[in-house]
Amino acid sequence: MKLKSILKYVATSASVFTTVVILLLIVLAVQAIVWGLFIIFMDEGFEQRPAKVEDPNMRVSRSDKKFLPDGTVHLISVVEQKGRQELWRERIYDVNDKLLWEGIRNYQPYKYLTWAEYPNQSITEGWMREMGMITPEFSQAFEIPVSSQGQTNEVWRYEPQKELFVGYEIKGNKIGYIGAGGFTESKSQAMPFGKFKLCTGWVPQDSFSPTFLWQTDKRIYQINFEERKVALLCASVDGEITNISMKNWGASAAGKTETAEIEYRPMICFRLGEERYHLILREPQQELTVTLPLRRQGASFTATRQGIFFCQRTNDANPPVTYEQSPVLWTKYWDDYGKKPHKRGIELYRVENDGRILLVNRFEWIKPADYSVQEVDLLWRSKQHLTIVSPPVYDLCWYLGMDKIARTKEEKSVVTDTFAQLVEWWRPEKAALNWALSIALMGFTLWHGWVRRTSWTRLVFWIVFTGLFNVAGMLTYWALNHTPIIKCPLCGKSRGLERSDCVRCGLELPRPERRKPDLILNPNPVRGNSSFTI
Amino acid sequence: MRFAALLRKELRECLPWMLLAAVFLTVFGGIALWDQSRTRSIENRYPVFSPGSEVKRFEITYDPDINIYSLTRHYPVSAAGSFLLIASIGLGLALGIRQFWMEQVTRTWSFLIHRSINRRVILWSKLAAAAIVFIISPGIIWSIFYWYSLRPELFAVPPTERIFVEGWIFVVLGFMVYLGMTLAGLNRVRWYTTKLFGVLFAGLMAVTVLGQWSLLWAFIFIIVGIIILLSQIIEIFLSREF
Repeated sequence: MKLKSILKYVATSASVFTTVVILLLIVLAVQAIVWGLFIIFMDEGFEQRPAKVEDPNMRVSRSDKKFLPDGTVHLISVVEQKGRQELWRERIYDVNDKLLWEGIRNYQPYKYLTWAEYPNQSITEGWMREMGMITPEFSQAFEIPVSSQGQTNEVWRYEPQKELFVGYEIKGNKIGYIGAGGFTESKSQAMPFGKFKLCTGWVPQDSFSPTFLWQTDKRIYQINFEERKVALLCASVDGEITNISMKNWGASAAGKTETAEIEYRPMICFRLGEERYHLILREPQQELTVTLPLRRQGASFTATRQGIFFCQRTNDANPPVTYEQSPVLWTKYWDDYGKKPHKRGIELYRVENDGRILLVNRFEWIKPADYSVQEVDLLWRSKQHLTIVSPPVYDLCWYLGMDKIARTKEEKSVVTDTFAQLVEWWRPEKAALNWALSIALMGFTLWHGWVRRTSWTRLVFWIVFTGLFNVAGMLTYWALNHTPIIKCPLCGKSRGLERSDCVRCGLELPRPERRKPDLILNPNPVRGNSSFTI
Repeated sequence: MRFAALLRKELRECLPWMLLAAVFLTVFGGIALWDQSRTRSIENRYPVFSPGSEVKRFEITYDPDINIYSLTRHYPVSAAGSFLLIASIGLGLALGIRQFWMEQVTRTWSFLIHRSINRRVILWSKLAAAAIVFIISPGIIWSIFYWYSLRPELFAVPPTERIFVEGWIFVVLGFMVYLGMTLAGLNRVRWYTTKLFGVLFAGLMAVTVLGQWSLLWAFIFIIVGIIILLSQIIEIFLSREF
C-alpha cells in the first residue's frame, strides 16, 4: 500500500474520531444541563410540599447509639442545631425510650467509649498520586521540614518513583536518603519503603519536627526525621493492610493526656482480609489479632485501662453471594432493601488478652423505609429518560470491563476513571427505547445515504456506526457525508455528486460540452508580434 | 533552496508573535520566579511546628496532629508554569491564525500554491517554522528558568528532572493547539458546523494530558493527538482546492 493511501485511511479515521469525540461531549453536556435544570425545578417542588409526619421509629433509628464503659447503651437525639456542635441541644434516652437527660451537648453527664478513628489528617495513596498530576503549576512535592528552635535546618522530600526520602540541607547540599532500612548516605544502600498507602504525622513534645506513621501495602513504619530513624511497627505476611485507624497514638507521643474520665491506651488497628483485625497497643506493649463474628461488616476498636472493646453494626440483609459479582443485582438488592422497614443493630464485644471475644451488650431496632426513596426514584426516572440519547456503545464498554473499573476503589488514571464514571452514569438505562431511537436513526442514515452512497461497504459502516453511537453517530455521519443532490436527467430520481454514475440507472454525470478555447486575440498586435491575453 | 526560502518567509511572518510570546513569558514568568527566590527563602517556605503541635504559619490548631496537607507544595519554579502554559497556547492560536487563516483573509493562497513548488514543501515549511518558533520562544526560555531554579543559593531544594519535562510538555501542548487551529483554518465547512472541531479536539487533548500523573501516558496522548491532527492537516492541504 502506498504512503498516500495509508495517509488517506489514517486521515479519514482521524476525522471520524475527532468528530465523534466532540459530538459525544456535546451530547453529554446537553444531557447534563437538562438533568441539572430538572434537579433545580424538582427541588423547588419538594420544598413547597408539606412536611411529612415523622415515623416514631425514625427517631430511634436516627439517634446516635453510644456505649458506657460497662456496656450500657444510650440513644442520643439532637433536638436543636444552633451554633457549634458543642452547643447543640440533645436528649439522651435509654433503650426503653426513657428520657435520661436533656441539655447542651457540652454539659452532658455521661462519658461514653470513643473509638479509634481513621486519621483525618493523612495523605492517602490517591492524594499522593494526584500530587504527581501535571497541573498548570506542574506536579507537587511532599516535603518534610526538620527544625530546631523554630529554624528549618533540613528538608526531606519524598520521591514516589524511588519510594524513598531524599534530604537536603538548608544550603542546598544533599544529606542522604531515608528508606525502609533507615538513613543512608548513598542511594545504592537505601532500601525503598514499598508501595505507599497512607501517612499521618504529629510533632512530639520534645521536638520541633514531625514524626510520621508510614503505611505501605504490607508494613507500617514510624519515621523520626529529626533523628533520621525508621522503626518497623508491623509487617503483615498474609494479607494487605487496610482500614487503618488510630487512638491516642500521636497524642501520647506528644505527652498529651486525655481530659476525659476514661483513660485510653495508645492503639493502632488495621484490617487483614475480610474477617481479621490486628491491634498494636502501648502502655504496656501488646499485639493482638481479633477475628470478627460478622465477616463482611467493619468494626471500631478502642482500648481503655480496663479492657479492649470493639463494636460492630448488624442488619438483617442477606444478599445472595452471587450478587456480589453483578453490580446491577447488587445495587438493586440494596435499593429494594432500603425501601422497606428492616432490622438493624449494634453489638459491643470485649476482647480478651488471648484474642477471644465476649459479647457484652446488643441493641436492635427497626429502621423505617426511607422517605426520600420516592424523590430519589423520580430523579432516577428522569435520568433514565435522558439516557435514551446515550450511545449503546456505552453499554458494550460497561459489560466489557468498564463496570469493574468504575466500582473498584483503586484509581487507574484520570482518563480511564472519568470515562468509566461517565459510562456508568450515562449508559442507556431504558434499553428498548434507546435501541428504538438508534434504529430510527439508522433508518434515517439509510434514507439519507442511499442516494449519496459511493460504496456499499461505506454505507453499511455508517449505518452500523449510527446504531452504535445513536445521536452522536448520526450527527457524525451527517457532518462528514452530507453532499448536495441533483435530479438524474435519465431516471428523474435524486442522486449524490460524490459518485460519477447514477446509483439507479447508471447514467454518468452530465459533462459540459466541449467548446472552443476562450482565447481573445488582441486585434492590435504590438511591434509586429501576435499576442493574446486570457 | 526553495524550502529554505519558504522557511525564511514563514519565520519572518511568525517573528512578531514569537517575540511577543518571549517578552510575555520572560517578563511575567521571570518576575514570578524572581519573587519566589526573594520572598520564599526556606524559613518562609515551610511551616514551623512547635512541640506538641500545631501549624504556626497558618494558625491552625489541629491538636495534636499537624496539618499534613501544608507539607504538599509546588516547586518555586512552578510560579512560571501557568505563564509558560498561557504563552504556549496563545502562541499556538496566534501562529495557526497567522499561517492558515490570514492567507484566506488576504486571499494569498492562490499566490502561494501556484508557485512551481510541491504543496508538500509549502506545508512542511509552515510546520517547521512553527516548530522552530516553539522551540525558541517558550522552549529555550523555559530551559533558562529551570536552570535558574537549580541554584542552591536561591532554592535549597532543587526541582526534579520531571518538572523540566513537564515544562516541555506545556510547549508541545502549545504546538498541538497550533495544529488544531491549522486544521480549523484549512477546513472549508461553515464555522458553526464542524470547522472548530480541530481546536476543540486539541483543547480536549491538552486537558487530558494536564490531568495525567504518569509521564508515559502524557506522552502517549500527545503522540496520538498529534498524529490525529497532523494526518488530517496533510490530507486536507494536499487535496483541497484553494
